[in-house]
Amino acid sequence: MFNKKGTSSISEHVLLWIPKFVYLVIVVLSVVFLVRMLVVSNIDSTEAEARIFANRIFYSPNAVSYVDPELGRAYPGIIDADKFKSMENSDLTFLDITSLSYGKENRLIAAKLRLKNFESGEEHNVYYNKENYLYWEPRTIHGVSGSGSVNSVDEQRYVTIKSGEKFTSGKLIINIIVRR
Amino acid sequence: MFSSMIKRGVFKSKKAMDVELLFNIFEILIVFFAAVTLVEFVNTESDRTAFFKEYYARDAALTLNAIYAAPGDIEYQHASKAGKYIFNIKQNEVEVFLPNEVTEGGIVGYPFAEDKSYSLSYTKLEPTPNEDSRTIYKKKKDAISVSR
Repeated sequence: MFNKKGTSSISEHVLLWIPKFVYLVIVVLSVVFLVRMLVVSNIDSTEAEARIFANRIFYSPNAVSYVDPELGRAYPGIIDADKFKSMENSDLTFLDITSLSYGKENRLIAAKLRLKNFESGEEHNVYYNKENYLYWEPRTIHGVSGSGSVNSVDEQRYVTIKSGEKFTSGKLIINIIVRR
Repeated sequence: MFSSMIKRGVFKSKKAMDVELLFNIFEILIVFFAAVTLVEFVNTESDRTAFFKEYYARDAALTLNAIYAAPGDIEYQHASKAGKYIFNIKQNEVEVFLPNEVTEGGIVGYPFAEDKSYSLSYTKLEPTPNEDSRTIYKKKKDAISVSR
């Protein structure tokens, strides 16, 4: 079909077009990537879930805050040390059963509450959904996302610890793990 | 135009110009194919009711969690465009689906944590005539209710 000169001309053109095609492919892939990036197709509400959970721990009269027995009012900044210590060695606390109950099986959220007393140096730990927390905790690798992965969120607040009639200062650190 | 280009030396020969033209057509075809694929992808994504059901189920479940977290009495009116969906608030779960999906499947649910010291009235919120809807969450003393 082509003579020797014609064939060489096509070969030259093909060679010259290779960089153009590479450029075209880069442009098309960039557009595809940008569209896929801008179109939200999955929802990640783990951060909101964790923050709301922490607020429930702080504000609920049925969690760890001190509740005035006469008024029935919860004091969010005051932690009832006796209530906290009573849950310390339990696998299933009243947080799991009553205050933050996800039914028979909680496959969504787990947490560890650490109460540090600045004056005595004591530290007490309470687990929420202990079994899953211990299972998910080693999987909290930063930057890993997608189905089946977990998100770890830390929330800490300076609190007053009420033990009997004694008030001391301390810090409550909550590590919340939410499944995506 | 092409003959003048040949004269000016943009294309060295008529044959080269044909090849150039062929490549141009091929290039346009690739771009056209990519554009059609993208438009189709965007259309598919925008029509996906599963995404919106997941979104509204999470939205309602998180709102209920926040209502439980709020100290004292509360009334919260939540405006959304979820009027065509049915919200079934049952024990530890909010289910969202379209009226025809009761038998066909396609129900999307999301869990929420209940506080047993409050009494939450389990309810089914029926669709509204308009897409815009207003869901009212109320917490008064120990009772929590949700209505439209």
